Amino acid sequence: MAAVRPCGDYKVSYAADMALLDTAFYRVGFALLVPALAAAPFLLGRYIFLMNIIGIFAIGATGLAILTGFTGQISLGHAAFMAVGAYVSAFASERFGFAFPVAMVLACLVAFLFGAAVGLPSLRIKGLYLAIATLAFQFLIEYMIIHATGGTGAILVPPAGVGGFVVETEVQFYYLLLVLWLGSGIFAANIIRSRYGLAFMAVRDRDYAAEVLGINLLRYKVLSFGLAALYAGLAGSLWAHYNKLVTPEHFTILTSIDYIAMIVIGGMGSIWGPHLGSAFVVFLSQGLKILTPLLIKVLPMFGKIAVPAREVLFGMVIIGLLIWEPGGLAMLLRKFKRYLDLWPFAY
Amino acid sequence: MLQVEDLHVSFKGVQALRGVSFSVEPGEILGIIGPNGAGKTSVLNCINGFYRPQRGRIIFHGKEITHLPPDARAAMGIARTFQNIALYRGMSVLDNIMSGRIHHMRSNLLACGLWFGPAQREHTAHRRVVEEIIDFLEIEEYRYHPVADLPYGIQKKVELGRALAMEPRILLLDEPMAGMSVDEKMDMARYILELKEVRGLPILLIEHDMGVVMDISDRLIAMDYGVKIAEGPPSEIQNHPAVIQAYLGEEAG
Ligand SMILES: Nc1ncnc2c1ncn2[C@@H]1O[C@H](COP(=O)(O)OP(=O)(O)O)[C@@H](O)[C@H]1O
Ligand SMILES: [Mg+2]
Repeated sequence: MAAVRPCGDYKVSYAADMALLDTAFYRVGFALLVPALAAAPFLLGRYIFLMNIIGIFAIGATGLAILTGFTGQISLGHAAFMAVGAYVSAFASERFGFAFPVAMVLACLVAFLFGAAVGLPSLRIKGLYLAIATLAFQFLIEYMIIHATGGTGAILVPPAGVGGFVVETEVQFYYLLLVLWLGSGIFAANIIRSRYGLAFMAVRDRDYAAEVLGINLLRYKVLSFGLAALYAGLAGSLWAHYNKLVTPEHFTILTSIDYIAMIVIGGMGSIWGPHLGSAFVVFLSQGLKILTPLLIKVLPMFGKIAVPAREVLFGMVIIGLLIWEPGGLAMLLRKFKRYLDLWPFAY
Repeated sequence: MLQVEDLHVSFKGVQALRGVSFSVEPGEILGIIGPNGAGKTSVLNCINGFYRPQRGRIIFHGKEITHLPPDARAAMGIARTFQNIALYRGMSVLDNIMSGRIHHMRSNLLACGLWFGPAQREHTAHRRVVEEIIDFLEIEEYRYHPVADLPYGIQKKVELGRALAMEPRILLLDEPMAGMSVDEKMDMARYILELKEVRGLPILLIEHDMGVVMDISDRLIAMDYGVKIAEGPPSEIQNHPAVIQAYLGEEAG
């Protein structure tokens, strides 16, 4: 239980008790994690591109974790918000010549507004019906992009850059991303431990009991949708400038489902969940991409199932987690922590 | 301070309330008794805004609130608990009670996201208030427990704590002792009395345990079939013929 605190871990003040990294395990873990992330390009070599993909999707998944994990609102249109961010950023920099930071902020703001608008009906429409409404938004955005751009919807995007410095390589992009990834992740974690997070969770757990505390349901639901979309928009903007190309194929319903897989696998209702989930999903998809041609060589009949194999594998992992560990990878991490806390004496 | 005038509520043919009027005076405990289905919970639902009465008015501190949404009434200082516990099951005891402080918190989204500085100071101040409530209700040892795993009696306490954290101007309690052991009931009665005596908090109390409700209420209202059948001091209500009749009817039916 969360109540079991390791021996000797006394809280000296309420501020310490409210710390994000609330035990030595997480503090030491984080103290090791940051230098490891900073050194990743040297450790991973040419595989650093994996961290770029993981980081971008972790930012997007953080948004969905706020919306679904903490506020309890389902969205099947998360990739559409990413598309909004990507295209706003692409147009702003390619057509209007805005610098990358400006385009990125614009992408976040516009995505926030789209999110808030999609969140408006959430007071009336709930559960499955809300999921269908967000699905409709997903298809609407896909349709709009194709028609607005006339044709395939693909646009070239200039590379990212800050104040005259142009981001050319994977490693340079990684350091830019790392700052935004850590910053946005900590920002989200702070929101969750503030009054907003409390209100979101109250809405998630029992909406009428939230009203009784003076929580305006519509205000917080709309805000949660807006924040979710803002994070997706940031991810979209980064994705656009990372690939130097946007195309609607990157933001289909399949990407929305990937996002859901990330937060479920990572652990709903955990601030670590979206990051763990993104890493898991990206590793698995990239691993399959590498393995598939090899497998087909050895076992030609695998070719027939190679395309759906990824979806089937995710499905199996999710079902397995729902059965054995509904808390996802974040809960496994916490169990491991508890094991270390009590080691070597279980008392 | 709270006036309820001529409330009428019906649901598809069922008349839950048929003209109920009463008032709660500053600093008093007003008990509501009556058999199951009498309309007691419906009265609370009208006061806190879940039900819109077809007729009647509700006035709180001189302001008509009949048409305000529930969250606006809560913000005015109307707090309540539920007959069937309505805690946030995914959250700890601490966070449940802390939620009662949300409408007193002012930090904006940006300050909260940055945390260090104003947001943290504000949160710490509110945490102090919450700790006082946790002490008052003697639930220190459960502070970090997820509420879903706690015994029923503790959950009832936490729900009271969450309502208290709002620093309300009136407290509506819907059967706070239902399903509790005798010891737990005595504790709860002690808290309720202390809230009245130390904080001067007016309390509207629905309770089935006659012994307790007679003991701690200053005045009582008896309801049956959506109407108020009697009102007065406990000693009078105890022997009121209409009240005895209502309860006899329940036992016979
Ligand atoms: N939301 C509702 N929908 C339909 N009927 C209701 C509703 N709320 C209350 N009632 C009916 O109104 C009557 C009074 O209910 P209630 O106020 O819960 O009584 P009590 O709390 O005194 O047991 C009952 O007959 C109940 O079935
Ligand atoms: Mg009732």
